[in-house]
Amino acid sequence: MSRATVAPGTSAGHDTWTRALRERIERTVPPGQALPDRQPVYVASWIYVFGVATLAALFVVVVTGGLLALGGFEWWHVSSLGRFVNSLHLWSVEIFFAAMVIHLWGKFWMAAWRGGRALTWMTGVVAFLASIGTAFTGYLTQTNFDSQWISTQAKDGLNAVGIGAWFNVLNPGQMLLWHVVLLPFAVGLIAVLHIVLVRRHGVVPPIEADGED
Amino acid sequence: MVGAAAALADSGSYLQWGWFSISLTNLLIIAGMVVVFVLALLLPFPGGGPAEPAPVRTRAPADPDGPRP
Repeated sequence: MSRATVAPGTSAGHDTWTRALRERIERTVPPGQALPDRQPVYVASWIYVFGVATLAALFVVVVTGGLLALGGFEWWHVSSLGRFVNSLHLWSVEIFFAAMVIHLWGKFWMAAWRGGRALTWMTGVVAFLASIGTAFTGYLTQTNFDSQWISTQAKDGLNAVGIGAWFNVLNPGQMLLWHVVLLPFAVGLIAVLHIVLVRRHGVVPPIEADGED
Repeated sequence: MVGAAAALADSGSYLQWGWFSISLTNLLIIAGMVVVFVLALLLPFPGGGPAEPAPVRTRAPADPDGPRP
């Protein structure tokens, strides 16, 4: 915005929250690093694929979860299409976790927290833990014998650690809302933060290619 | 009902070493993930796209305007 277009009585843009936010975003992920079309040569390895594979699976998980929310319990138990979408949701979660764990193995053995990437590593850890909670409440939301069995078994354990009164696995309404609102929001938010940090610091180089540490 | 009873009766195969117990299905899935991990390290990645030889920057550049008050 040029000074000539600034309305009377408003700031010229020096002390506004919009300018501060814009500059903060530009400092966090400089232009050109958000969606790069070139990567270092060492990224040309299958081990660097599993992070984005996890993201792709998460996308399918969210879309199929949204469809299940539209259809409801009876739809995913009785309708052939509902059961198909239910299976898509299950298997995309399986792929999500498999890809995430292989991603974790790869990043662990290349010590991906090097070069100021500790926060990137820790957000990945938190995303993993939040994903486990989301999957667990998903098991409780199936509305079948399996969910009943898991909830009754988990109830004793969660009571024993003292959180059973606030996180009551025998309350299907509470578990459903944890599964479709709170935990997906947490996983999505942490995943975005994780990706922003990856884009800010760049993909971690192999140990032998890293001359900085 | 017969199908449901059969499904309940089929609890799957479990392997046990002392205190450690795991279902055969879970063990095979973990073994498959390890195989995929090793293959990802060993198999050549198909080339094609432009590559940038220099390591990426590990920190964002400093704000040219300097720190804000």
